[in-house]
Amino acid sequence: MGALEELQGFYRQRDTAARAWKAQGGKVLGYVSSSMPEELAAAAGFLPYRLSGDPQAGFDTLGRYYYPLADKSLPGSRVMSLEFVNAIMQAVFSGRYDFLDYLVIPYARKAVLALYTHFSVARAAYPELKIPELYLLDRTITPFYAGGLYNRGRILDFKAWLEASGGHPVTDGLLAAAIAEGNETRRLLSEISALRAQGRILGAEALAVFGASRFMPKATFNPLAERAVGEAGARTTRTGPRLFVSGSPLDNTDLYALIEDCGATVVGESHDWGAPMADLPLNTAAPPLEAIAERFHKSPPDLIFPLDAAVADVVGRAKACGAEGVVFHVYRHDDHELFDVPAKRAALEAAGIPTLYLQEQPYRIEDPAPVRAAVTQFLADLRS
Amino acid sequence: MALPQVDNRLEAVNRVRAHQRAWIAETRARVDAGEPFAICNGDEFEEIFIAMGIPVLAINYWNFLIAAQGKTGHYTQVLHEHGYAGNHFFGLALASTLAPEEAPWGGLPKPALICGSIRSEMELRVCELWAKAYDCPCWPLDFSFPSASAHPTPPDWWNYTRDRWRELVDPNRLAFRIEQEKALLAYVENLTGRTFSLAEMTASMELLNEQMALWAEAKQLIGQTKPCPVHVRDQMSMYQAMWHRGTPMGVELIRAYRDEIAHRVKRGVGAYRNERFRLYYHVQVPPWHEHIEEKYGAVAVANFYSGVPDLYARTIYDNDPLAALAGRHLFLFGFNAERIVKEATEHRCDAVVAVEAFDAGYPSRERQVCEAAGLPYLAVPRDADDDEVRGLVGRFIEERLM
Repeated sequence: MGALEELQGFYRQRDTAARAWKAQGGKVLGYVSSSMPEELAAAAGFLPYRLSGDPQAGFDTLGRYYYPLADKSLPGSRVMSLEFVNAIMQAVFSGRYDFLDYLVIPYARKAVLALYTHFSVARAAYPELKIPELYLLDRTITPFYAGGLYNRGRILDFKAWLEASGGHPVTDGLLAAAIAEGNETRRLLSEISALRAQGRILGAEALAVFGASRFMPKATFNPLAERAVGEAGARTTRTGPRLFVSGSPLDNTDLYALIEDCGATVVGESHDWGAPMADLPLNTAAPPLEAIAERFHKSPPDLIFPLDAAVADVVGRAKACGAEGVVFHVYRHDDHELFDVPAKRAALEAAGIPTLYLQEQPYRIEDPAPVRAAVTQFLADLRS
Repeated sequence: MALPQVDNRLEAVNRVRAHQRAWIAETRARVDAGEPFAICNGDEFEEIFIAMGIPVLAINYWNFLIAAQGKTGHYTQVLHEHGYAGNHFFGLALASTLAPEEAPWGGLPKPALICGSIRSEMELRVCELWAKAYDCPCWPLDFSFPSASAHPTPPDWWNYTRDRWRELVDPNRLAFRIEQEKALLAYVENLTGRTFSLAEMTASMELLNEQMALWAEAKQLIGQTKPCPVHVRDQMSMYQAMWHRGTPMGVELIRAYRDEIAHRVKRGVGAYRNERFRLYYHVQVPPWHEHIEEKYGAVAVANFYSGVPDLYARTIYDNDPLAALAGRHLFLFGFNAERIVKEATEHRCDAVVAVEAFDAGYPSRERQVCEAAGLPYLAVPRDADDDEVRGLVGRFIEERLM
């Protein structure tokens, strides 16, 4: 089996490596969203493991474990319908993550932050669910200096909590080693991105590799990714339109597979299950803990403030990978994304990059026909 | 049998409405004369603008006004035409600036800045887009209410909000929020040329506390008195006095409200023609209210907002009103089911009706807590007046209350 195929296997069977780690006596620290300082958890001896949903799993446990406990006021109801977040609850409630020792909820967006409350009340009400001990990793959404100081304080708190929760003392040496390993992962993911931009690797394959890096120890991932880079470099280049995907986070490859089945290649994305994982290598010249705090502050939560920066981010990424068109794919109820899209579309089109807007999309693509038709038409328009 | 004395509309409501309209006109004139004006998301920073003598508009007030004037559909269409899909109550105000021809009361004057919010990411984006439309700065504040926190909330949190508010907030977030608000305060001083005075802020907070104490008295009169002296629609209309909290006018508006209610109570005047059963509705005004009043004599005397005004009061410690205010910006109130029981009981309600959009057949915590407290509980699927909801409410009244 090739390395690329093996990594895709870890992506499809997302618990394989974590269960093996657990079976060997290791502790698994689950987390939600992308801005988690994985190196800190790794230096304390944990396997950091990113949670995701499953579009095929449905939401049947929510009726029993979430909705009865959820706040019934109007402010509360605002965050009750975001399916990719609800899918994570479904996975936890259904026992899919029974191997987790701890679960870290970062403030990535309000709907993610609210998971802390949802899981806390469910944990108290339904002990049989075996929801692991929770930790809220707080941060600011604003990117300014004062927020940096606040966020640094939360990193120090998190370190202390890790050490008090069964982790070993986080020394500078351990942290430096974890940072070197994490930076190597970022370098390899950048290589994967570059190969994709060359047309040597599909978007769906790349997305699986990016995701796999969050489901397994870096010490296992990095050599496999190195081999995968070598394998992909020897491939012939794929021709056809080059598309960039922006919008809601995609924790599965369904949309990419559909787009690529239409003849295009997804050469880049701005959502946090993809290429942005390779961003912001940690500063190895700085004291290790300061480097962690700096990256934590600089890595944006689910919303980039201000809007102009979010627009520049998408335009810059799309240009960098040579995209000929951009597909905006926004889930229903992903409200801030839908207020982002018009400005981003306008900027891209002003830069000569056409866009397609797939709005109010379901988390699970039950009927691919409308998306297929829209993408096919978009590709035809690109060629004309 | 003597007919009940009924008076459906309070003079205090007419007054607050007239004042609000005059305030907009006066603000427009002041802006035309070169004075600053601010737009601020609700419960973020309004008191500081007020203490600095800068007229400030709370965004959701404007959204509610647009909705009350029946322009939701029009402005939703405006949002769609600008590429913003879906239905977004919070975006209506932005739309009224993008297409000002039908904006309420001739539209808003240009603000000096918009104080945005990270109450939700969408609200922040709308504030940013709105500021772009006005070509003015947008200044966001972190951890706006409500934001989930690891800091524990006691089940009877309402006993803490006034004097023990420091126990309700995460100390790290509080320290940060105070600094963020001070930074914004300095920015506003630079932007507008107005200066901030600790003494004026303290005086404004004391007025606010006085206003909320009067509101609490009004609520107590409403809750204790049968027949209910104030229609729930009027209770909600009086909420406009909230936009002037911390001002002499805010106090005056609510004092008049309290006095008028007391007068009604003394005369035995009720707000409903037919009050047999009293309901708590966990939204605002039930859209099916007239139907159940007429058919069953069931009236909503309280709702989610009934007990909210007095939760705004905060005791100032160490001569630091900004800390008290920032503490309130982090924690205004909790959302637990016990609060429903508290408000329903204080309003002598016979039953509770709440919207449960996702009722999968398992009893909600709200249902369990209310029923355990002896309050019959009904979940309806939406805040709407249609055959299904009317049927549910009707059967509930017939089977549980009659």
